[in-house]
Amino acid sequence: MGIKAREGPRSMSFLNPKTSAEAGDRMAVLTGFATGFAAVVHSINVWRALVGPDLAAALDAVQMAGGILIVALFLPLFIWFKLGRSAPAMNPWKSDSYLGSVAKRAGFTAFAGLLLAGVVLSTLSTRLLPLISGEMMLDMMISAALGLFSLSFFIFSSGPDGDAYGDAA
Amino acid sequence: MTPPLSNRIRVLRAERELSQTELAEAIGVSRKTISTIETGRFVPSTVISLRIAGYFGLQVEDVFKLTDQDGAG
Repeated sequence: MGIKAREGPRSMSFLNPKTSAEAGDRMAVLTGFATGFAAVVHSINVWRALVGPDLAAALDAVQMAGGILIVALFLPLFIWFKLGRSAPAMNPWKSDSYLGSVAKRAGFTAFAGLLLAGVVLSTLSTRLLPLISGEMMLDMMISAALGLFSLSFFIFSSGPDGDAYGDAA
Repeated sequence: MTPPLSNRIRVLRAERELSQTELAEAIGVSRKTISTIETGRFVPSTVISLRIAGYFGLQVEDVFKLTDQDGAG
């Protein structure tokens, strides 16, 4: 005999967390998406240096649009979750929830990856620096760190969610 | 990898006809946190463990158990 699903179809959507814990989890997921998107937008700096002037101008426009999208889409969502009156968000970085721990783990992975890339690049600097500028190298590392955080977050948090067992999941 | 910690949360919920969401709301965590604790993917903090055990009116060791130990402490 199992548990009855009392709630019927879940009325809770991504934008309407019922509790501060859920709001904290939403912020963690949003952080994962936002950093991934920021990584793609920032990496345009690298691509711009590798293409011709015509395509570079187009990439500038794409980057500008991406930057506006980040501010226009993710910032209001962060504020929504942070200031939501029905469920004020807890800080996912201070929370000891599952997704809070995943976010910390992803942050550590991104830092470790950045450190490793820095060590490798410093040992190869005599060969690499004549080929690429310091600015480009920095852009590559920033994009990689943001992308690594986002990728790690979604890899670590993927997998079976367990049997909801009583919840209309 | 074998989870280092087993728990009886699922059984305790079933006995009380309690959903993951209801338990999560009662102890102030998200449903995802409860579901991943139940399946052994996430080892909860001491605070969450105490809250869960306290909610069921049990001691922590009545809810959680190390899988590689038989009561050794």
